[in-house]
Amino acid sequence: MTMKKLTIDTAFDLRLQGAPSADVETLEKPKSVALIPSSIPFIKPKLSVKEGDKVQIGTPLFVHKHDDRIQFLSPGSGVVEAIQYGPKRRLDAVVICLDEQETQVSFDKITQTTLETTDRETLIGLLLKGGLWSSFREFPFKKIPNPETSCPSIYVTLDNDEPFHPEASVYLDGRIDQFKFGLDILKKLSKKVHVCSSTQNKYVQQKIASNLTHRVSGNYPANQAGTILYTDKTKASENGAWTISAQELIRLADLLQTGCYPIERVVVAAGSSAKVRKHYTTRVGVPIQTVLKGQTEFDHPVRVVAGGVYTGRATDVTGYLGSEDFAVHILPNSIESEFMSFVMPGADKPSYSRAFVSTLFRTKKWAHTTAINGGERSCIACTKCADVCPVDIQPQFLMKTLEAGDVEDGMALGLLDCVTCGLCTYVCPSKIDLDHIFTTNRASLEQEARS
Amino acid sequence: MKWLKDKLDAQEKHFVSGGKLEKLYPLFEAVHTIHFSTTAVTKIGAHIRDSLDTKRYMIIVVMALLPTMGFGVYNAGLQTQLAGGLSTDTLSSVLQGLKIFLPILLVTFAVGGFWEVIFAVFRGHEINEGFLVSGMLFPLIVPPTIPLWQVALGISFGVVVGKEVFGGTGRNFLNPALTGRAFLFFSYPAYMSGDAVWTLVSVAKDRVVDTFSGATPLAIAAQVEAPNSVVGVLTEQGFSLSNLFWGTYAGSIGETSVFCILLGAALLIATGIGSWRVMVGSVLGGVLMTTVFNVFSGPTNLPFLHLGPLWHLMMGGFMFGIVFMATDPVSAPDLKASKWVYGLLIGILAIIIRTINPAYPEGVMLAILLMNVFAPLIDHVVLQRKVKKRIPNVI
Repeated sequence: MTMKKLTIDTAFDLRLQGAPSADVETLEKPKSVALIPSSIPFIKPKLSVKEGDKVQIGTPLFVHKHDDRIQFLSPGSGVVEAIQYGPKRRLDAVVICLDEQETQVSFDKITQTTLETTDRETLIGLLLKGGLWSSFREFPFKKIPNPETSCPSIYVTLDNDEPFHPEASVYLDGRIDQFKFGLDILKKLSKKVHVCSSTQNKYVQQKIASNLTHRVSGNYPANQAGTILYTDKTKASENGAWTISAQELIRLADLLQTGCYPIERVVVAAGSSAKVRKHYTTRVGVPIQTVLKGQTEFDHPVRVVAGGVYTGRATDVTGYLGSEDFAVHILPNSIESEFMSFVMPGADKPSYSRAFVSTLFRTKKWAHTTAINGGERSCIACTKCADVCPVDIQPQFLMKTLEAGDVEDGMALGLLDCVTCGLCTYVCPSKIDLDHIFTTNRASLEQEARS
Repeated sequence: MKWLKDKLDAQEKHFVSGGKLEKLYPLFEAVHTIHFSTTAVTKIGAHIRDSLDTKRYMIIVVMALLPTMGFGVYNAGLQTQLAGGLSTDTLSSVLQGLKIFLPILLVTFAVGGFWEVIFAVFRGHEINEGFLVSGMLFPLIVPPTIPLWQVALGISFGVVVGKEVFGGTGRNFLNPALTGRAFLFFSYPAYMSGDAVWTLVSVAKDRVVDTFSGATPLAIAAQVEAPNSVVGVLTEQGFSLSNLFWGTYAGSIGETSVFCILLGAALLIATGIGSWRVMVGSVLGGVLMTTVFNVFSGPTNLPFLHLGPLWHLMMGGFMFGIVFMATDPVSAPDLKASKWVYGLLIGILAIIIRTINPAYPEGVMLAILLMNVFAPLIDHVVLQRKVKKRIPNVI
């Protein structure tokens, strides 16, 4: 197999402090676990359980209202302790209080030999039943694909490069055979299966070199599937590609090999305010308190983010990591007001621009707070967003086009290529939330495409 | 600084919703955030944000203007002292210059600031830092003799018609400071052009020294007739490339010293705040057009056409315009290729206007305003080409 090298050089290096170490620790069993329906993109959850119900590992908790074959299974065995709603009766969490001795639903198994003779439909049926169909994402919307659609290709991503996510060397450890079995499963689903990893990732280049198809060089979001797809594609028919993360692919293989709903997951605790920053082996739906090992008191206000610092979901120490989350970030959530800071040299001000003296420190790592660092203004066409966009969009034009209500032109400018990485929002000196504008417009297009 | 912050914070209650002065909140907000940076944190979107904001962005342009402004003050004073045959030591020149410049600056900020506050209050948004730059640029591109009522009128036109009627900074398509300058130029030509306006003569007319002419090199060059050469006449009048570079001659307050302008350009380029593509493009355009004139004009009764590119770059507002005006990101095009086109055309047009049409010696002002108008069109064409190259991704 030929290896393709992709270089994405537009993105920039945040050089964020607070990276997790490669150390791994197995966390103790938590008292409860939860799924966070509102964090799963483009689904309308319909509950299959009510508070007080007894569930096993693998019992459906809720299904997708528009296609009830897409179901979301319980990551624990016990009692449905709470069903939490957010604003507008948005289903925010289904919490399971875990039993001492957990039991599980059993599913049909498949071996390497039976896989050869299993047809695509049967396989899809098994994945739907096993609750892991939702591990796939379909472009351009990054939604759970319709089981009936055929896909032009599947991109498997090994390195989620958004600061910070588990390293492949940790979650692949001891699971390489399962990963390879997972690839065989994917080959049943699509003719083209791409396996993409960062050029920095020496571990996979040694261990699974023969399986790699793409080596990607560049900073976040170079290794996100959307960026890889944009850089790799040669024709419009590839726009509907699917993607799955390597850790989810291992779960897929695990499900079919063992006939049990797999709940193990490697997560990281990171961020400059986190007291311990490392990898943890734990389970899906783990409480954030468990990941922080009970150290939830901080001497300054903090923001708890489930996921990465650009696209993660703000929560608090009482929250849970849902099915979409592989990281907890603790960031300082306050900033001292500074006197006349805008005329100061700014040696301590991290910036993509060269407008501060800090630009001279090429290797320094920065501890970012959640400060906006300025007031909201109209776009001044500084084009910093265009400089960092990994998929050659001119975000400032796209934003103005969309704000004027012209979605057709927006698509021509690349709205559906947008990987919603958040870099444009990060760099904007006018503090315009470009990413949010793109995300909402993409969401309404998704709705239109469905109806 | 805590006492100042406490004092400011204590006033906030009058300005917030329900307070006596709630309508003036933008004014309070501006005063507060100029002194103390905002402590707001992100709510939606990326959790972390870049340190760069528009205040920093604009203040860097202001910093880049400081050498030019400092020298402009000195030079305006120096020219007045020279014309009056008075002491030309640095201190008296600077004092004289301050007497000329400060009232212009103050009126600009008072009147322009007034409009900014009015619009911010009525539209209910924060006061935009963009005016800091316009307010610094405008006093530097007017003659030292400008009456203050014209300063008020010019900056009002620039801010209101050049910017605010379109929605304020970011939504304007013309450079506000240049718009104000152009308004004055066409409304009051007697105050904005000719030989008498570039030096404030502070003594009685009969005491003006004999050698004082007051004409700018650009005006002289435009009037040279064959068979004299422009360089010859300029040299005769005491102009050399060297003093044009350093800037000790009469002209608009801030535009004479190419040296100081280049210092500013260096800061703008080093910080990435000013587009080097626009600057280099404009210089190339200017050199190109001058060379075309030099080579193809043949024997002519307009010796100005034979003047070399270096002289053209050094004279008048060319350098000031392309470094500080053409690079205004809002009124310039966005795309890299467009910036080259925009810059080149500014250079070309500026030289055409100033040489072919002696009524408008300040070609660069008109060239930039004209290209401001064309910037969206250039961007449109370049963007459509980029869009065609994309693999379509539509539903």
